[in-house]
Amino acid sequence: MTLPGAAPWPPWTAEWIRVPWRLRAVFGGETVADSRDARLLRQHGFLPAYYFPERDIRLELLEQSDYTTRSPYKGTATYQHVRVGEHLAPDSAWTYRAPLAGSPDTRGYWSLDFHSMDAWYEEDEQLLVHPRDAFVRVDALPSSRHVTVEVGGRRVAETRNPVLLFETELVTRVYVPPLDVRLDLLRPSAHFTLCPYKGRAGYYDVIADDTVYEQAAWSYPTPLRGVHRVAGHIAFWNERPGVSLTLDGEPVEPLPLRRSGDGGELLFPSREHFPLPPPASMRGAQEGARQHDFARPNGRAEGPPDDVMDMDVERAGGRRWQGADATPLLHRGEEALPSTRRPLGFDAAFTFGPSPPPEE
Amino acid sequence: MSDGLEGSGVHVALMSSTRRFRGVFAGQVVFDSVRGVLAYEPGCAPVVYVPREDVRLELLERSQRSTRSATLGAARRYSLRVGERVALDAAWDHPEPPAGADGLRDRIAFGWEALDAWFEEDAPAYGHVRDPFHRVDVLASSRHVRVECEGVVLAESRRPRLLFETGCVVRAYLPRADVRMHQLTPAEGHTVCPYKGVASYLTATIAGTARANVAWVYPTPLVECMEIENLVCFDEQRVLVLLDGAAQPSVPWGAP
Repeated sequence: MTLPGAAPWPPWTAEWIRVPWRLRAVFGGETVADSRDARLLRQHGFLPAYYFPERDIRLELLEQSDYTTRSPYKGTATYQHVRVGEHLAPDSAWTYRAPLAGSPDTRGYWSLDFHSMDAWYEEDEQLLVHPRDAFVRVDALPSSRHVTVEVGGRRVAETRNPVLLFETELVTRVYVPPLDVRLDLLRPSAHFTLCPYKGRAGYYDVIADDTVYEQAAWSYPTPLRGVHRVAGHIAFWNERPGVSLTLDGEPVEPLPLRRSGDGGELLFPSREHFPLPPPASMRGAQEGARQHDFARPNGRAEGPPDDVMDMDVERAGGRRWQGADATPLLHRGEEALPSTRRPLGFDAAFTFGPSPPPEE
Repeated sequence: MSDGLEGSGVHVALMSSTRRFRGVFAGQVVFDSVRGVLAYEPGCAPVVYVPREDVRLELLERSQRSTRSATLGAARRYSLRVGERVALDAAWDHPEPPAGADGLRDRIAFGWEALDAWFEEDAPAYGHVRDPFHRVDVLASSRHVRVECEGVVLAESRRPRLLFETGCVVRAYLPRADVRMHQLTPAEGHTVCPYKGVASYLTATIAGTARANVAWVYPTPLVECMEIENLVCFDEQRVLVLLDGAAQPSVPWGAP
């Protein structure tokens, strides 16, 4: 709903935010970058990306690369490999030496590909999936509104005790207590996604009358503390054809489906359906700051623009994971890079996340 | 500023909300809406305006008082009456909102303190409604924090919990064992934060002089901030708080 008097959001904006915490990136047992003066690049259509001042990067661990990418908004990025002994993260560091007018002045700052590093630390806590945004909050609120879910015409869930999850500038999601769901119609899928605000979601296929609605539902069995109330509750993709959600007896209108260039079906709540966020001066931040759009998929946090987004991939920090071995499925024909990096998700934290190297 | 308000002279931004808002006074739900609009005025927390149809108008009576806001213009005030209890001037509306704030037409807002309780969905709200653009993160740190006042060290720690809140400078919450608690005494008064809970305050006595409210504590914070439970946070406006030996720049989180 666009309120009367609200102006349309500009097509591309970016903010260059000071990071108030100590930030470290670790690779191959070495701290590659360690800064108390890092920056966060927030930009329309991208996940937030961390940048380090050059003086806080161990430049001796960088190796020359000829790889470049071109952003029509930011300019040309030149890349370096990160090498620690026999460990190589190819093309995982980049900088914009001549940012375009209209882009923040990022000269003298380097970004590191999030998933190419072994671990990231904000202060002493490991950061998983992708950087969090200062202007995004997630509230999981208990509710008594009446919810029904039908898939393929079959009643799959009904409750008067939902938990409503409000994530800034995303579709409000309705989580149903598991015992109010026809669990016999749900089949666990190998698919999972990761979110730095909520945790790890497992997905379900929903079977209704011999039709399989793949990954039409998901759940956070052990969510992060801030949204603990959704633990074990099940949410349904209202935007999928065949899935319909009602709230207090009224159908919840799904936002339009958009298709990717390769013909795949994707779900994208388009920006014009969300109201204008308040300007920065309203929030106490400095003038010029902007609210960001949905993150969008990429093999890295940079790359060419497109107007299509996959909420699954957005959650996974730009890579679509499938299966227990988490083989990344790159999106839209992006060139595959040689990499054996594992996803920096919650599996990594509990099974093979390294500790930061000892202080010198 | 390309937010559509440039040149219009209006300094308010509106955003619709999908969550259910309810306000309770004297045991009655005074409004119940899933069509609230948040209004952001400079330097203020967001205020929710709900459609007239979602308000129990029979409980409101037009007040003598009218007020004028620099950003939103003239406001009519209403008092709330339930049985014997009255909340004077508890609610207001803007019959002629300025251009850019037309979304407030036919909507009513309530003063936070006037009501007994507020709810977002079924969860209580404290202080003001939760701002969707405001987050709080607490990170365990091993950085060195020292707090000084007039040359006296009030606290020193290598295990702070650093709290980062949109629009605020970093705040260091320190274990009591690292604080000179014998120089601090409880102060009067509390503050309420919708994201963290209720804070109580501490006064420092240095060289015989009392310095009020130099620090605060959340003894029972909301669960989203449980890591700061019972830790002591010093006000960098009143005492010197050094992180890694330096006073922190007063750049609020989210600013360039």
